[in-house]
Amino acid sequence: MLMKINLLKIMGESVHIFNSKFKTLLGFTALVFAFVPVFSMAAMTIEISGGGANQIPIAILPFANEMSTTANQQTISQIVNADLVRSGLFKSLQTGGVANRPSSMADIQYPQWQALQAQALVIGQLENLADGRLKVSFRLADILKQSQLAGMEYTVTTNQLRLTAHKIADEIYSKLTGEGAMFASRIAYINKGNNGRYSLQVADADGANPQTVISSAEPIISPAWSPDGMSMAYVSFEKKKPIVYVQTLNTGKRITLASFKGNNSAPAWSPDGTKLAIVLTYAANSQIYTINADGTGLTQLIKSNGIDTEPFWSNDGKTIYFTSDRGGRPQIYKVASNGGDAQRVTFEGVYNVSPYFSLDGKSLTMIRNDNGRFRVALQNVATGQNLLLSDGAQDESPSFSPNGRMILYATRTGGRGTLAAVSVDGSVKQKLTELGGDMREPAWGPLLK
Amino acid sequence: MIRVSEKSLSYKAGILSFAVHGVLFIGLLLSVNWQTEHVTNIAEVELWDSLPKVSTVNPNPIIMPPTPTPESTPAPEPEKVPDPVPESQPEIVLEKKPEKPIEKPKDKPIDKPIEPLKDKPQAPQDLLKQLEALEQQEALKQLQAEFAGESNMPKKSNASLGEVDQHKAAIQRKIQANVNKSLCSSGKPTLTFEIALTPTGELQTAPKLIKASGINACDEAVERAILQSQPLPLPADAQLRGQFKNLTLKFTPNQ
Repeated sequence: MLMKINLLKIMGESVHIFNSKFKTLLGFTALVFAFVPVFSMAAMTIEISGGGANQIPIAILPFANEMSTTANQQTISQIVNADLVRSGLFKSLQTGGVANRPSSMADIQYPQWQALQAQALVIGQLENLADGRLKVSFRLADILKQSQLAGMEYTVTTNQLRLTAHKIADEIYSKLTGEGAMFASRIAYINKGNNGRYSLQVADADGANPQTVISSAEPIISPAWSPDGMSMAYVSFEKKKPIVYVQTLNTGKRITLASFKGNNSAPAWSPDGTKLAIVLTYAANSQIYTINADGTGLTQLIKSNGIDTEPFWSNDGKTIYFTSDRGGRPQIYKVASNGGDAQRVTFEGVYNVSPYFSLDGKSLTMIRNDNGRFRVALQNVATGQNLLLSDGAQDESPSFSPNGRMILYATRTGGRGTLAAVSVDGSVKQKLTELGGDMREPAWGPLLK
Repeated sequence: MIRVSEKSLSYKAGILSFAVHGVLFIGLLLSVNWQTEHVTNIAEVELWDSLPKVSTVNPNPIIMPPTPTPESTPAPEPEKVPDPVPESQPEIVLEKKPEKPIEKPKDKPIDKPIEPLKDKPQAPQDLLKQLEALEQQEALKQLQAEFAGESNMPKKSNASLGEVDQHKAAIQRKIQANVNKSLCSSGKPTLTFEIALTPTGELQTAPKLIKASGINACDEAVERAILQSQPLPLPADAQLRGQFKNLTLKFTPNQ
């Protein structure tokens, strides 16, 4: 009985136990008690394959004072918003109906944003400084963890607001996707205006803010960014034959890099910016040469009986990739940057041209003839796996974004060239509609410092 | 009277009493040790069974005021302003502050004491029910055999097994719908989280990453999916619900 009373005390409830089974029950009870923790410890396992979401829901509030201080058509928050949405990885939530708009982290009412299904929230403000500059600050809040993910402050002039917005978008993008930045960069392309003039233009990566580097009544082709983004090499027919020039962007000063007999074309920078690879018909059919960035030290890289063209210098500087028909049809080959034997790189498809590597060297993009349609293709260098990314029939000139996430290329619709971009997994396709005219040969430049 | 009649049993009874108490004590010790070592995060003062539906989406302690500090201390910042280059300046002082104060209050009060109390009231109830049901010898033998076997789970009827499976599937669906696999690269990452749930299906603490994918953004995307899926659908029956208290979630986002 004593035992029973003790037992009952522990259990806190009365229980009826027969004397005849007393001992057995007792032993059993002890056993059960010893196992109790094991019961509660056993965690159920649930396996979850795949994923049903492909975008991060984000709320971007207008920055405080942004209307009064931004002279551009778009406000900072609108630019940030557009950048993130264009990447395809973000879903921008409508915040118009939200009553409480926080201006600081402390003001954020998390349940309110959770109810909107937001995972992240961006708030920010502009402040006028005494010296006429602006202080732009933003905070990225993690709605689910109720904490601050990122926060930055920039002191800028009014005409740097757009770049600042791209930098903010990059911060948010990198923080939430783990990928490198790409918005604070520029693109170059050739535009043939309605008056028939050709111009080499440079614009923000979103196509806004286009500026003309040079214009001419004769064709301009093959723009190539220097690795520091400060200069551009291109081919101009202004002297009735193709000549390669290098022009410094902020001064407009240019030098003639290659004006040899025959055609001078297809400039490509070495990663350290000291040399370029060019294509000359100087002695024979299109052959690849290297030349110092000041136009000295011309050296033939490789000799071929066929046509070698479109060199691309690998980011480690050791290899030059190029297009050649030495095997009968155009394919991508590679050769050491100090010369040697060429090796074929592409084997899928009967026609591959315009090689361009991602900065990490892991991916090669090119134009492939796919049953008569010229489309952007992607090859994984390590696995050799291939993917056709674009849907056009006459797509050309693919180049990677600085982080390797997007590929910019030109496509033709309705007889006009437009610029388009596709994500490397093919999931996001976009057209840079802001730009008018007939555009060709885009090149995505490096990140702006 | 009582003394006389029970005297003959007192010796045996005493030993048994000690034995039982000893076993109980060991049981308690095991329980306490296990709780503190393995589930340090899992703790809440509420009672597992008796808690009504709490509607808070996240644990209360997180809504804290320390965050104002970053905002209200722009004072140190202006020093950076004179910098002639209009470049970005990571705002070190402001950013680090908010995070720490947030974390601490979350972990500390929760970790320690409450866990043992929580399981106690529940366990005896289950046991009592079982004991009553086991008054017959056969049933007893059956249960003993069960304990000797591999499974630690009490045997459930087919109906309740079905309900458990249904809720497992529902949880799977709900979280899966929120997993953003576009942040998980193109390989075949696998990752495992452990979570502890309240009776209403909310997370007791932040999900614990047991096996990382090697892709930080992917780990975070999956963690966000878990957080966003609150409350997770749990069985109405308290006993079945108990099985969902601690869950191991294994993810293969690209499959």
